[in-house]
Amino acid sequence: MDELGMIVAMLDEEPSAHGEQDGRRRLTFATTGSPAPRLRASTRPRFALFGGFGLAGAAAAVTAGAVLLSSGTTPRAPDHDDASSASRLMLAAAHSAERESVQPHGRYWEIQTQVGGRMVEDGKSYNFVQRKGKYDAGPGKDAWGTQKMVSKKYFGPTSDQGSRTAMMNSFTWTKESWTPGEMYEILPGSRYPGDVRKIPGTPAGAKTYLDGVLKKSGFPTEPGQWAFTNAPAVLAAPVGPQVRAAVYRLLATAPGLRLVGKVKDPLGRSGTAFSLRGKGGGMVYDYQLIIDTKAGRVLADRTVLVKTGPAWADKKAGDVINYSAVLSYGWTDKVPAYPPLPNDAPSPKK
Amino acid sequence: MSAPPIVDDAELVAASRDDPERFTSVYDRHFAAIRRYVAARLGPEPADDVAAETFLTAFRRRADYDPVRGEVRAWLFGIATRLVGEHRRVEERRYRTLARVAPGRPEEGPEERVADAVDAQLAQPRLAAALRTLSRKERDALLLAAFTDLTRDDIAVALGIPVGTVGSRLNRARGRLRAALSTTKGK
Repeated sequence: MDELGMIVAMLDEEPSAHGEQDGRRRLTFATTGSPAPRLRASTRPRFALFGGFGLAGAAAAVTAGAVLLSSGTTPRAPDHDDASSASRLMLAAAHSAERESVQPHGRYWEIQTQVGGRMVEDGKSYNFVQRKGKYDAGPGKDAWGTQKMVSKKYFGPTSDQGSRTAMMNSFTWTKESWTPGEMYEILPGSRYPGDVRKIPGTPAGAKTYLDGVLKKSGFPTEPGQWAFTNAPAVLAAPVGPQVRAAVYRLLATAPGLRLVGKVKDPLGRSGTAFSLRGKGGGMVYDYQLIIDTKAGRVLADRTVLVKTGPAWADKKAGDVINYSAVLSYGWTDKVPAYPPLPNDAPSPKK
Repeated sequence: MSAPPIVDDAELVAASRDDPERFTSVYDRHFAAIRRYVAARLGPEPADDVAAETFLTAFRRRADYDPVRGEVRAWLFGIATRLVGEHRRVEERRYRTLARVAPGRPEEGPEERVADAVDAQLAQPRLAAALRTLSRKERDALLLAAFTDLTRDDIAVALGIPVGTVGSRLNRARGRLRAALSTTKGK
């Protein structure tokens, strides 16, 4: 064997088990999106590490519809032009979504995301980036979550506690079973969770349906604002083009909706950012939704600081404190054969 | 009405300018090879992502692909090599680990194969150490030569350098590896 042969013997790896399917899905997502402009700068995703007011806090605020939306008392009140161009572009997204062809059905609804933020573990805070996949065959069937940490960097001590979990410590893909049907629910875990498949395909119908689900569970949130702060849960969900279009039309009417403009999402993709302003923990922030309006697709959501508070002393206005970017979604028949997520053991030492 | 099948890579890329979905055929043809090359340099975990990113980058830049300058394969490996370059620490760590890890026992098999495997395993720490001493540019040329079927001309296209430079980098790199191996065999 010559030296090249020995190099090959040393470095060759097994073919990828699931990477090929994953990558193909991501590419298909890109090829069926809107045409990309010619790029000058690097197109590498920037895995910048963003902080968060504890991922759990952010997630809870968003998923529970508890984001406190200001209504005209914000530091910068939305002006009329902003609001109308925001609605116009949102309607353009609706129009594009409507034209998207219906995807061939599979057993599982799959969504791949990348999330970034700050987390707390055993009194220490970390900036992290994680890849996540979810596969859900529907209520009463089976569902799976996959995850892999991309990076995790110690940020500093914190007075918060938070236990170490295997989910935030596995740097290789792992898999675990999930409650089936959650991806089909509007308020997962609620007594009256609703069902995304029942959302009517008209803006008025969608509004009435969402309003009913929210009220029943005790959330008196305006349906358009709720849909905005939970957009991936209804737009990257197992719904058809009509429903997606109806939801975009509903978003166009969300009180307080503002247009941010053309931005790059956390993965470097071009999109249009919209925002709703929120307050909490002494901070003011914009909850931004980044949409590829030409493809009618949600790319990412993120929280941008407008006014810093005690929890974010190290951040300044304009900093992104957490994000979730949608890499792909669609139907699939296969769940990757990743090893199971190890059980959480008690923390090794104090 | 479906579009006629396209056999040539360059035509596929050209057709994908107007019909983006055709680019998935480029992926289907070359993913395994790109991923194998990237996995050799970065290890299996980051390889899936970097290989996927190679095709996403290529897709976004498909308008820049110029068939006159070289084959699609060479262009793709060039993109993959640049992306690998953004993970230098991961690559460094991989070679550092290989230089330390004691290899496992060879499996049973025909004698020459076992002998080859033994050779390779005994040599592993030195080979890995030698890889670390190469410059990034030498490593690019060497690993493209080892893990792909690209010719020297193709490698020149992939790396955007003259063919002569490919030759000299390869010679230097291989010389360094041979030197490391001869020390091993000196026992």
